[in-house]
Amino acid sequence: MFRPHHMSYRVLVAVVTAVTLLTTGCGSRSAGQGGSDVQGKVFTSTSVTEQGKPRALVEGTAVELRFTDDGRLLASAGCNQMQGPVTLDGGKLQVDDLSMTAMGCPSLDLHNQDQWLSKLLSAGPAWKLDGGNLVITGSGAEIVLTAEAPAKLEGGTWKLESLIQADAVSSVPGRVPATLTFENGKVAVFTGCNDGSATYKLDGQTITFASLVHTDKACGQDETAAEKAVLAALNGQVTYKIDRSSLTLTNAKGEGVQLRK
Amino acid sequence: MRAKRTVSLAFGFVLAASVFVPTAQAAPNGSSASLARTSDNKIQTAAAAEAYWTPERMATAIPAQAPATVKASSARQPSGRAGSIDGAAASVKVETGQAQGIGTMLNESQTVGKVFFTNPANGLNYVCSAATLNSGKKKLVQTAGHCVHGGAGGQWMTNWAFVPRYRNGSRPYGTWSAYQLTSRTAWINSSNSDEDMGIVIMQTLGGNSIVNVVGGNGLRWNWGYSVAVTILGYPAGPPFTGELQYFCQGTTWNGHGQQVRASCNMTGGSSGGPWLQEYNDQNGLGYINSVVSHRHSDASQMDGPYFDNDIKSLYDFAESLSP
Repeated sequence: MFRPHHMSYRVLVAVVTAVTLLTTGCGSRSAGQGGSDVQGKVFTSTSVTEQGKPRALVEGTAVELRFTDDGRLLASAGCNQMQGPVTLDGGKLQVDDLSMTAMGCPSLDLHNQDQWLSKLLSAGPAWKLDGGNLVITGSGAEIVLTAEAPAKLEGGTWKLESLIQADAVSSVPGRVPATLTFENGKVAVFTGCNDGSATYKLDGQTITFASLVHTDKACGQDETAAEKAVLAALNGQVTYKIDRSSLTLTNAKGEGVQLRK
Repeated sequence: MRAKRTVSLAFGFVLAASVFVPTAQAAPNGSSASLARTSDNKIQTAAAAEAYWTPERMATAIPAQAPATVKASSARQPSGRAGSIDGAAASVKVETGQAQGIGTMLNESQTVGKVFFTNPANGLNYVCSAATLNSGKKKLVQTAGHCVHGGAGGQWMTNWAFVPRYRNGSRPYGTWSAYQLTSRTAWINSSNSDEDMGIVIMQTLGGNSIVNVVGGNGLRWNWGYSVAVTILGYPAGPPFTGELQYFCQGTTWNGHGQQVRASCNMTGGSSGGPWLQEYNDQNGLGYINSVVSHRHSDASQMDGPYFDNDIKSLYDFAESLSP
């Protein structure tokens, strides 16, 4: 009973692909931009048009595209996560083997929106950078996306989000509200239980912490777990990485924390 | 190549439940047969389901060749010593105790359930599948990484709840809330689908730990890419509704990267559902050997992360955090 359904889906995909190849095969060579302009960046849609008319996305959702440093495209239309190896030569976004996670979406509209984006991306759309915007054109649609600037280390409060132990990571038990605030060479620390501070120096992707002092009152079980990870992340030379609004601090042993602004 | 040789399958049959027993008919062995519901929602008896899957139909359902994306240059071998942790039966009497022994149908497993959560990135609610996992502290549930965390640049899911043997709104073992979510660093930092694994430490409910109530599956890793599995889950995307537990059975192969692939047409909502070795329909237990992660363009196949030392490491990590 599934065979006819599958067959028609496959035929449809094949037709869409063929039509797209016919209509875009010759015209897109002049764009000529390299993938290095988008690699390592995250883009979020600001407008979507289809057949020249605005296409409303499901409320609360946007198209997000991320071009990873290892050559993958990560894509989302508000529900499932899509990814696959991508090439960007000749102004064409070519992702040959896009995968999609299998979560259940809050509505049929969101499932359909996933399918729509998956098909559009799999059909080899054209891409170009227009000012600061990324414009994707294909399957009768145009998606305009804007690059998202990553958060800055200094200024503002980073809230504890994850406890990292080398290759494994966890959420914060009991949602302990630990924070770090970086400002003018001094980091203010709240471990979720104790207060403290340290000095820091930035050098590339390394932060060197020194002069860590903190109060030392007894804490509950969840607070103790959070505190242990926070203090590990402030131990000497630490690698830091900012991705969107996430900050990851990892010490030489691979222990550390992830925080969020 | 291996796909050709090894794939056999049963497409997405819903699991039978005790609620259907009143209309069951006598099975040849004298026990009563449960009813299976096929994925087009036509209720049929097990005998009819068995009759539908003629050798010809089963043969035509087997892919003639592996997808073009498969580039396995050489057969992958387990990279470490094969490991196994045994499951634990439920301490309470399991309510499903009806007919067994008919090939194309199974009872629902009370160790498998539907997962409900909110993604704080946009405030929307999503569903996945998961299964209990036996351990010393009896509190673990296995699912996919993306069912607990949004991956690169994303966040931990909130309001994370697990409902064992959910069916049509009924929650026979209650609603269990997460205490702490765990995943692989490679998943949360870079959405590495080879490590799309999550283990959740559950809170107790009424003073009881979840594995002590519904039982807990075993775990197997480094078992090779070709294993016979039973995949269980709650597909919610069309044509399914997410209200019933479905299963697929077949033999896996290496899909791409460190991924096992199986023929199974479950849709969105099945993410996180267990791939069980040696599934025992009598007690609802097996050995978890992967979880539903993602699908590619062929909607009749799905991939799960190959369980190697990474899953054992995550298991040990989660158990160490468990109260």
